[in-house]
Amino acid sequence: MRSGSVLAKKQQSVRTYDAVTCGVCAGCPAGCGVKAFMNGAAPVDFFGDEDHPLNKGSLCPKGMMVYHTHRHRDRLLVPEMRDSLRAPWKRVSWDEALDAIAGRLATLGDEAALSLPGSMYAPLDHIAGAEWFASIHPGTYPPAAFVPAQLGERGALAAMFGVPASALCMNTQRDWANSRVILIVGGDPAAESPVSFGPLEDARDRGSTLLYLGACGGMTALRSTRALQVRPGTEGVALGALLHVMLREGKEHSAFLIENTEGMAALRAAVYNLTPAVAASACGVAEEQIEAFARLLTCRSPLQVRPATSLDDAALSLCGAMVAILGCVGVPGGGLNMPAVSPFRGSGALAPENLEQLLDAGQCQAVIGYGDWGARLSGGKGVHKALKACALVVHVGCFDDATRALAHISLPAAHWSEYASLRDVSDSRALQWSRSLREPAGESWTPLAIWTALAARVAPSARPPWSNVPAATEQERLAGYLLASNPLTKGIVLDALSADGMQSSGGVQWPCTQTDEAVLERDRFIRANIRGCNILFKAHSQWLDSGFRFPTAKGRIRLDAVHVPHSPSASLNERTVWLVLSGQAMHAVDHPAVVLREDLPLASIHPETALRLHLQAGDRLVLRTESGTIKAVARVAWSARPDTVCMEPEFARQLLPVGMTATVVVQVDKAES
Amino acid sequence: MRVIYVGSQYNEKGVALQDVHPDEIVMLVDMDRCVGCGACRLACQAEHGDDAETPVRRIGLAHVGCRPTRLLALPTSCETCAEPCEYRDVSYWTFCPSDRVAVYRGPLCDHCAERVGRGLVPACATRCVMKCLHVGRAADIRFALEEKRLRDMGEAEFRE
Repeated sequence: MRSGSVLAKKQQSVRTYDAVTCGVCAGCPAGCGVKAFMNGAAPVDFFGDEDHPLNKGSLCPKGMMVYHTHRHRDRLLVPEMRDSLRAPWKRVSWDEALDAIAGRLATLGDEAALSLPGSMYAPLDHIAGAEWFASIHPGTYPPAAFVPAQLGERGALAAMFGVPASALCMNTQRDWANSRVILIVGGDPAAESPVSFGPLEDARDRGSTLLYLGACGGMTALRSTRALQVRPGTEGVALGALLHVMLREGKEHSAFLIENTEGMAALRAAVYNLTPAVAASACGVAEEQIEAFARLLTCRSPLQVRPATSLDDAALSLCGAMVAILGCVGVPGGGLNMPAVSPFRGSGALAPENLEQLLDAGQCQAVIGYGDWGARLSGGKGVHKALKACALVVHVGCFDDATRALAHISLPAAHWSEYASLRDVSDSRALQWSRSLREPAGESWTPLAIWTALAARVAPSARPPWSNVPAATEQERLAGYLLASNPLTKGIVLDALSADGMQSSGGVQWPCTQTDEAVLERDRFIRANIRGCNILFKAHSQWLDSGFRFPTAKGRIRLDAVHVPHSPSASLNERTVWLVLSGQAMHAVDHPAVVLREDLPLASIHPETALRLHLQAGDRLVLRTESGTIKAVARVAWSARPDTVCMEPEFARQLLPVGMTATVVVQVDKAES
Repeated sequence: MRVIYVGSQYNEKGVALQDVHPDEIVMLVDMDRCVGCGACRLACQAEHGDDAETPVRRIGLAHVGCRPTRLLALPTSCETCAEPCEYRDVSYWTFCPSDRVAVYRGPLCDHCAERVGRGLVPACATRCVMKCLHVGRAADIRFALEEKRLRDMGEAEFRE
């Protein structure tokens, strides 16, 4: 810690403390360092870790909620069971709850009938435990719902680059300053993970052009140099039109294309008819806006593209095509950077079915899931009816949420701040070891302990693959096993991540295939935190052993794997609008984990739409589609397009038909009170 | 000619906050960098011991009335009053310009007197995600404003 300077004395507590522990927040993929001031075993104050290079002392509201997670009124503390969905919850012991689960699983039979859903942001130990459980229990679908199909090994980006999108991040944070143009497609990073947005705003302040293309006109669009706010679901169409303009103006990097890609002719033919005029009517913007946006995209080099994880296959593949066509791959500051990348997710034997399809087809009878997966189910009433007919629904999580209302058995999980574990999901390809900041609340267990205990009942002789790793705790064994068995991380040993000699936490950036690549950095700006090398800084860097400068399987980017979408068509009448689900939180302070849960979710409506539909802020609304109906409270904001209603996905997924991700046409009415 | 040193090592000659007269301490808020995440608001609640059940909002979210609507988290904003008066949209006050003290009885910003007394900056400034908040003597933090003016080609304005 720097001493002697006035402005550095920020992250210091005035309360009584005798020790300081550093952990890594898991609220979003940024992976910020959290500093806990401890008085004995209990923490008395939390600040951001000023020596951590990702947040440098800041702590966003989601991280600040660690103050309240121990005593939150919705925190689950004991295992509970109930006989039916209408019966009251009964407190039981862990043994009783786990025995009941094992007993009901035994009655299911051998056909695949157990599904283990979660989300991309579920804890790593839960996913590892679930995958192992699926391998030892017959009739279990692998946890495929953790990663959407377009981000896994079957997505278009995986076909183009040979690397699944869930692991595709070409530039790390220190490299972002080299990007002269940064394009953010979809989502709202300034609201969802503001600390990751910080370097992007810094780049803008240093003169880079920050561009936003998406349906949500929130803070990211406001802070960008130029924003193109398109109709939701049409990001792919807009990207195709931008590519059309680039090719028409001859902006492609011919030498790069010849050397490193194949299938350019097919892509050229596919976007030939996707002119700005055609795209403008589909996207709901003016033709000149698309032309001007394309000019800004190509005015300088290199270009970095940051898609959101909620985009569809077509939009993702076109983002990849854009950087490839401009030759911005494998150069400092240029590339395709997905958020929330991890070397451990998105690959393996994933079943193509997801939970909604299984329920819709009546092929699932039991569900054990982490967090609020039930609120994210599309398919409305049909899927929820099938879920209620399931023989067993288990909720594993920290907080009482909408999914728990659908469950028969509730198991309390320990919060990320309450046990030491590996942080793998990151916006900057960092792997970090997070220390425990406090004891688990109540009787909560870590997800790994839950899966281990359940497996002991279901298959007593089975041993997890990490049981042979020499380490003190189960979490360390799991982390050591995952690091050693993945080609992207096999140069990392756990001791390098969890050295106790350093006060601050830190990590290593992957890929790290040799042990000597995990070098402790002593530069004063970094202060020995994120260790390891950004491969793009090395002149002779290679992607693993391939000999190429960028992630690739065979040395060539396959541009014929790009999906060019057709324009969506839907009939709109006076009362219908598009619905967009804008990401984790519309506004970080409105996030359901941060404020007391309102009785109804918020729906953001443009003032012109409110006028047209005779609505005011605070009115109760009914939103209906063919799949279902929900109620919401109107919030009038300019961030929505005039033909769009924006909501958080947690509340509105049931309006979507099975399998859809982000947009649908809804009818909005004022609720009769 | 006035020479202003700017850099990461610049601040080592600054005066410790506890030795500065409270009237001389200035907080500089960069509105262009603020994304309205609300970290300052929660930092204030945490520092003053308010739990999640009963948030006492010393820092409010204000809709600044220009197109498009911006949600900004402002330290020492006047959103704390249940019925904001006509002064609210004009500027951001630390004390009530109209006689509203009788209506609102909750605590206002106390400038984290305990923290400043120990030479630390207020809680909101510690956790700001976009590094918008600079606290100190006006002379010591002037560099932030000058840097911003350089970037914005002289167009940056500020309200006192």
